[in-house]
Amino acid sequence: MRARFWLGLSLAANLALSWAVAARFHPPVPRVVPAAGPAHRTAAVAPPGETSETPAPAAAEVAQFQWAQLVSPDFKVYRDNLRGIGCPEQTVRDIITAEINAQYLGRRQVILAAMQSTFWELAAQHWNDPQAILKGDWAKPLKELEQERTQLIKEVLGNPEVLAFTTNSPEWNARANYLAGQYSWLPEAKRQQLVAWQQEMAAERVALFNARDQRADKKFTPAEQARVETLQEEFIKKREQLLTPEELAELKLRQSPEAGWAQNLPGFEVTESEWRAVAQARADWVAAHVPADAAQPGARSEPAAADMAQIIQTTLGADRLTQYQQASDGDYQMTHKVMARYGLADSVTQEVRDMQRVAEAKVQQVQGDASLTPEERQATLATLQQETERSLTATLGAEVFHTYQRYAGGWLTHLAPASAD
Amino acid sequence: MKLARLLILSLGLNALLALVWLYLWQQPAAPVRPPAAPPPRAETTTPRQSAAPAPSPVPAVTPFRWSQIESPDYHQYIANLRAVGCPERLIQDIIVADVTSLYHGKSVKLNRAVMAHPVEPWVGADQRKRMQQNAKEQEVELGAEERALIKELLGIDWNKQITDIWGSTDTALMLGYLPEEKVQPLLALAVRLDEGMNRIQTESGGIMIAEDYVRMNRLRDGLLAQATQLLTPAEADELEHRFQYLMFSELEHNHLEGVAFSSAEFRELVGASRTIRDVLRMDITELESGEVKPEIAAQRKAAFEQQVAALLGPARFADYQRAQDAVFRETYDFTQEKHLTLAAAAAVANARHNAEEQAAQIKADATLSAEEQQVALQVLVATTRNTISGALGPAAGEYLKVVGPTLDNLGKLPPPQPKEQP
Repeated sequence: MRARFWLGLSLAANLALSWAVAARFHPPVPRVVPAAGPAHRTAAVAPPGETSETPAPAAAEVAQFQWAQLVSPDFKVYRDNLRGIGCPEQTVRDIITAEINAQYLGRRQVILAAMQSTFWELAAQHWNDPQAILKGDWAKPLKELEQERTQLIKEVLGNPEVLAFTTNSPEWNARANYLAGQYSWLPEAKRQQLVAWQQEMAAERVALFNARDQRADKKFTPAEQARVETLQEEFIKKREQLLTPEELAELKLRQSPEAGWAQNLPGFEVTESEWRAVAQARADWVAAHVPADAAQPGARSEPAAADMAQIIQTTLGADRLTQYQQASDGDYQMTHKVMARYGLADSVTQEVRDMQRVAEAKVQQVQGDASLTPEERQATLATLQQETERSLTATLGAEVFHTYQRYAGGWLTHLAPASAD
Repeated sequence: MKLARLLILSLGLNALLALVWLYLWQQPAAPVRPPAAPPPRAETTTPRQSAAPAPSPVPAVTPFRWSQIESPDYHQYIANLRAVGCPERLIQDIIVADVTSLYHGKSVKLNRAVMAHPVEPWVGADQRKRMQQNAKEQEVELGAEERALIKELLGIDWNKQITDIWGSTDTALMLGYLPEEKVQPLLALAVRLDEGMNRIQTESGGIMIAEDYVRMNRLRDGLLAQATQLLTPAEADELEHRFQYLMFSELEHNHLEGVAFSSAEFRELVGASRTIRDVLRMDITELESGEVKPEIAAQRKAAFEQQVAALLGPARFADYQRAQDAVFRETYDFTQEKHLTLAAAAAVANARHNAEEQAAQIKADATLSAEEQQVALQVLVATTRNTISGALGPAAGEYLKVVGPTLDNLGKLPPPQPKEQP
């Protein structure tokens, strides 16, 4: 009886020890080092080995796992397996898309390989139109394959074109910052309120468009259509109630086409007060000359160059008008760019422009000289052109003149047009 | 007795198992160890739904979770993916997608920083341009950083553009003869060339000067040399021919209408056309400014035609020369449309040229009076019309509607010069 007891005990110890040995003696578990929490990886890559030397906390047994356990020829099963182990949705998308692409890449290669042996036959047939090859029969299977791939991705992963505009997403924050910048001149509380309203409006708009795009007919329901149309109006009404008349006037000025009058004039910087004076004068001009109700055919919507010159002269004075006109003069700007490219001073630009003016004035003189025969006139103009080119070359040097002629010297060819006779 | 023997056996087994267990216990266990603290995260981009909770006591055996693969350190993430047997190609795709997402977040953050400093409406063009350039430079730097990270992690020259380009049918057509593993690095070079050219143009401020073209040529030549090293000589030669083919018909208005040639001969013609302009190696100044002196262009064309003559032989070279004639081509196109023969096109073109020559002779013949000239010209035009009708058959009417006025002009004498006043 005692022997039976010891034998029983020993057999139990056999079992326990066998289990203990088996538990330690299973094949090596993958050396996976999981993150402590959800994270995006650091862009700065840790030196090799750094992570593995981190002191390890108590080890946990991980069920033996191999990637093959996730893989399935059915991409929907593969997707669900990934979701099942808590793979983030974006990574699921990345993996499944990559797997589908890999599968289709193989089929694409087969089509391409078959086509390659006939490349020069096709090229010889379409010797003068390489694009025609792409329209040929050989490309059809490629296009069909691409359609099939896109369709499969949609089936497995849903429509990737759904816009994401959720609170605190990067896009949301970027837009909020942009809007805050636009309203930076307003008191903090009003700025925040306007940004919040506009963000809410944008989120609702995105939701409405997403709902529409999910439908087969890609159309709004009547209720959605009505909502899309009223969103902006509602916002404008709320904004009018929030802002003082002065603030509304400032907003109107800043958002009007007149606000941009000084933004495209190279070399012409303005102060805030100059900007305000001219923008307001332009707005007054528009109010006086452009009908508010509807755009009539041929009606002007902004001041012409002469009107603008008058506005600048009145508001900023004669000196600033000269600078403004120079900045608005495309020929001057192009000449300036060429000279600046070679590091030449502004005075050289001025000198070249003076030479142009002198030459053009002489052309006028010659054209109006009734004592000249057509041949004499043509010969005089040709000489004038050659002399001007020589003078410019002497002033600028051959290389700069060559570049100037290419970018800003179109007027030189008009000095003595071949059709002058 | 039997029990005693069993007991001894069992005890012996226990001793053996205990020794084995002891030995195994002293060996390092397969580690599954979360880092003590994850490094600071550079960015959060797309929300990660698998957000695992803070570390908590893990049961002895747990079902596998994705969070056991993920790591804030890319090297570790890659190692973990490899350890679970994830295919290398898929690791590449996963890491590229992840890095791309990371840099998208950085780009958004950059834009956010730019937008946080509003540009007042009175800020002028020069300042705006500088700000835009700065922002663009920062974007370019981010892109370079992203590519460098992918290169460091995976050893590949990745670029989003490459994926897009390779996906297009025309690239597939042009490069489909190359092994897949050569296409990606080749496209990486092409993208670098494109980016480099754009950078030079941007830096020029829209005014390209001699030194810019020197830089462009140098950049192109350097990358071409690298491309050549990637490929076998035969692959490189094929690549040059294919690119040359794209420009073949535009080089000095090369025409092959009505010329018989095989596909192998066409490939040689394309290769020979590099004499006129080598699409891959030409001086970029020519392309940008169109500046080739007429005498140089004529020399190149003559050298090309020598090669064409040698390749096609005298009879077909004559066909080639005929194809350079606009009157022949106009007629050839018409006959092709009407399913008429090449001989018909040649006969009509000849008739028109003969008519032009004879009309010039008649008009220059001082032995003929104006009336006699007029009669001779009318006969010439009528004869030419007849020849055309004979060659084209029922389609001649349509053809003559187009070229008739030109023929009729041949039959007209120039108006008499006003007599000099005494």
